[in-house]
Formats: sequence, structure tokens, C-alpha cells
Amino acid sequence: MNDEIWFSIKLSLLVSALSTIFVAVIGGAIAYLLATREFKGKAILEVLITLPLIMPPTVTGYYLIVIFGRNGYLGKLLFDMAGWSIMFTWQAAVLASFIISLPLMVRTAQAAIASVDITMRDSATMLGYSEWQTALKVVLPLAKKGILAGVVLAFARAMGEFGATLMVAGNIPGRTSTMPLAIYSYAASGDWEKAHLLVLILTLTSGLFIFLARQFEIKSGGRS
Amino acid sequence: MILAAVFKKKWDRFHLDIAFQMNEGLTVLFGASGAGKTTTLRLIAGLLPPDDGHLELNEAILFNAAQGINIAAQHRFMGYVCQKHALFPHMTILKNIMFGAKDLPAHLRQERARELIATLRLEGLEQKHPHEISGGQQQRVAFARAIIRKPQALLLDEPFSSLDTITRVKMRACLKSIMKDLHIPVIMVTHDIFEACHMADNMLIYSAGRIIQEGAPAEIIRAPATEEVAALTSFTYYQTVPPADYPD
Repeated sequence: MNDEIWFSIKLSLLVSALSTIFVAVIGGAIAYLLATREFKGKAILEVLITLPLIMPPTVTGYYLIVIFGRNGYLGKLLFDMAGWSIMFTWQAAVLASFIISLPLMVRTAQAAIASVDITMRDSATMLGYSEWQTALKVVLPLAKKGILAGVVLAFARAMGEFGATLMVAGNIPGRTSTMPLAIYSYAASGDWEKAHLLVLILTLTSGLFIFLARQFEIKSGGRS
Repeated sequence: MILAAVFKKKWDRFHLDIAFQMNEGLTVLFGASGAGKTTTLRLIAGLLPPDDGHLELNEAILFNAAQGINIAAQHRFMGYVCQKHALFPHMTILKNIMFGAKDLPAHLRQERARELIATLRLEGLEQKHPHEISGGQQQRVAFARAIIRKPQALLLDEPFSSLDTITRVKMRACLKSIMKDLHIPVIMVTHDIFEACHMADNMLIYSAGRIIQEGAPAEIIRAPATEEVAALTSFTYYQTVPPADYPD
């Protein structure tokens, strides 16, 4: 295996791992909020979070450029403050993977948290536990298998992310070329041997993660 | 008076408007489904916010809409036991009970839990999980967990309704013995007139969000205020009166 292939494998793992950490923390908090609270704008928040799941990733990538691009709403602010733009960096690949895989985590974890009987939460509350303590000691342990399924699915989705990553991180060999992007480059240049190898690795890892997610879902009662 | 409650709560098609006072002992909230009994319990517990009213327990104001006081459910020091028991399936029986005493130091928590395990005849079950014990045992664990931190009031929402008849009778005796030591107001929701008469010192009859009669069970049965109360509290009414003649 040459250095380029190794780099794309390592970058994919790094991007997916970091993206999954953010997805687990932020997505977990959003899922908890959506599963346990009624508030104004809840439906809009759910739609916004779910959109990347059904929109073409290039469209999501386009929105990310509008927001985080050098002249974007947040991108300009960041550049003025730090003199740095996230565009065409590996961090942009993390951002793209985060946004694309967030709905998978939120939807799966939200269902798992909502399935915890409200009487469990009420009982903990009546025993003097704050909402935060109740979440940590009662709700999350009871919903952990569903939440883990969401984390695993988010990781698998991040590993396979292509469209939005291409839009915001580009396909720069040795800098932002994740496995899916490298496969695209190898296939476009007719380097089928390398493309085959990466396709095989990506298929096996994705299959493994989907199998793991399925096992967690079954154990958490999400499937029959 | 130990506990005084005045609540108003409105939903689209339901309007709860109740007021009552009680001393220590057991007050039963009795009435048809949807009359507002469980809502009353949840308002007292602090699990639901009332639209208006006030709640006092042992001279402390827990809720007063006019003064903007609303003590959080966590700080009302009330025990709450519901029909489903709501034991935490990922904890052992011992840990479930100890979970109820978060403010005690760890060694005292265990000591107090073991005392209750002995009192409620749960020995040998400490390391089991809730799904491994019977419904009656689960109910006793739920009681132990609710009273371990010595609450100032105990709220019971149809605590025996999922139990078989024999276990139910045993659990009534168990609750009575618990109450002897606690000396606190206990409010219980039940649909079972036998249970209500057997357990209650005082009974509140609910209908469509209102208390339509209040008193000792024997008094209410002897002199029901309305035909509806007579129907609700009669032991034989529904066996002898055809459905077409039931009160609206």
C-alpha cells in the first residue's frame, strides 16, 4: 500500500472519529432535548436537523460554503478574527461529516430516549434528582444501546461521506483526500487497483458498523 | 391541617378545579377515569404546573400562584409510587432502594436500605434485578424507595392495580403497617371501592374535575350526596342497575 492510500485511510479514520465525537455529544444533547421537551420551534429544529439526511450532500455542502466560506456569514467573522478559513482543510471534512451524520445520531438516539418510560424520569425527580442527574443516572443508561447504535451509524456515515466534503474540503491529495474522495480520483484516472482496494476496505468497514448498529438496535428493543 | 391544596388547571376540554385539606392518615381520591385524580396527584407532586391555586404542606408553601412560589418537585420531599412501580431495570433491588436516599452518606444509605429490606420482607432479593422478582415484591421495593428519605407526604397512584387479588390484600396490610411508622399524609388514587373503604380515613369523590363529596368512606356510602356518588360508591350498583340507567 502506498503513502497516498495510507494517508486517505488515516484521514478518513481521523475525520470520522472527530466528527463522531462531536455528533455523540452535540447530537446526544439535541436528541435528549427533542425526546423530553415540548417547545416552540421544535418542529422546525427537527426539520433542519433531518434535512441533510434527504438533501443531496452537494446541497448541504453548498449551504456550508454559504455559512463557513471565506465570505460566508460565520466564515468571514472567523477569518477577520483568526486570519484562518476552514475551507479546503481537513477540518472542513470534519464539519461536513458532522452535519451529514448528525441526523442519523439524533433520530436514533431520540427514539431510544423517548422509549424510556416517563414514569422512570418522574420517579427520579420525586426522589430529588435534578434533570441533569436523572439524564445521567436513569435515562442514558436505559437508552444507551439505542444511543450507541446512533453513534455507530454516524461513524459509518462519516466514513462514507463524499459530496459535502468535496464541496467544502476539496479533493487535495495528501491534505483533504479521504477514502471516498481518493476512490473518486483513482477511478477517474483509471487507477482501478487502488480504487478496488479502497472500495473493499470501505465496504467491509461500513458493513461491520451497520452490523454493530443493528445488534445495538435489537438489544435496545428498536427492532423485533 | 397538614396539607392544603387548591388547584385550577385547564386543558382544551378538561377543567380541574379542586380544593381540599387533610391531616396525617390516608385520603383516597376516588372517581371515574379521567375525573382528575391522577392530575391532582401530579400537581401536588410538582410534576405538573397548576394554572392557579396554592399548596401547603406542614405550613410550608410549596406553590402559590399569586406569590409566584413554585418549589420544584425535587425539593418537595414527597414519596411517589405509581401503578407501574417504575423501578430502574438497570439497578439491583438494593441499588433501587438506595437510589431514593441521595442526600444520606453512602454507609447510612446502605444501612437504611437494609433496614427497609428487613421491614418489608425483601431479604435475599438485594442483588436481583426488578424483572427477576414478583409484582408484589416490586411494589414493596417501590414503597421502600419512596420512603427511604423520610418524605413529608406519600402520593400513591393506583399502586395496587397491577397486582392479583391476594397480593393486593397483602399489600394493603403492608401499606397500613408502613403508615403506622410514618405519620405523614398519604394520598392514594384508586378505582377500587373495596380498597378505598378498606384503606381510607377520608375519601374525596371526583367527577369531571371537581370534588363532589368528601368524608369518611362509611359516611359517603351511608349518605351519598348525589345519584352519581351513590353509583360510584355502591358495591352492588353495577351488578343490579342496567347500563341504560347509569347516571350521566
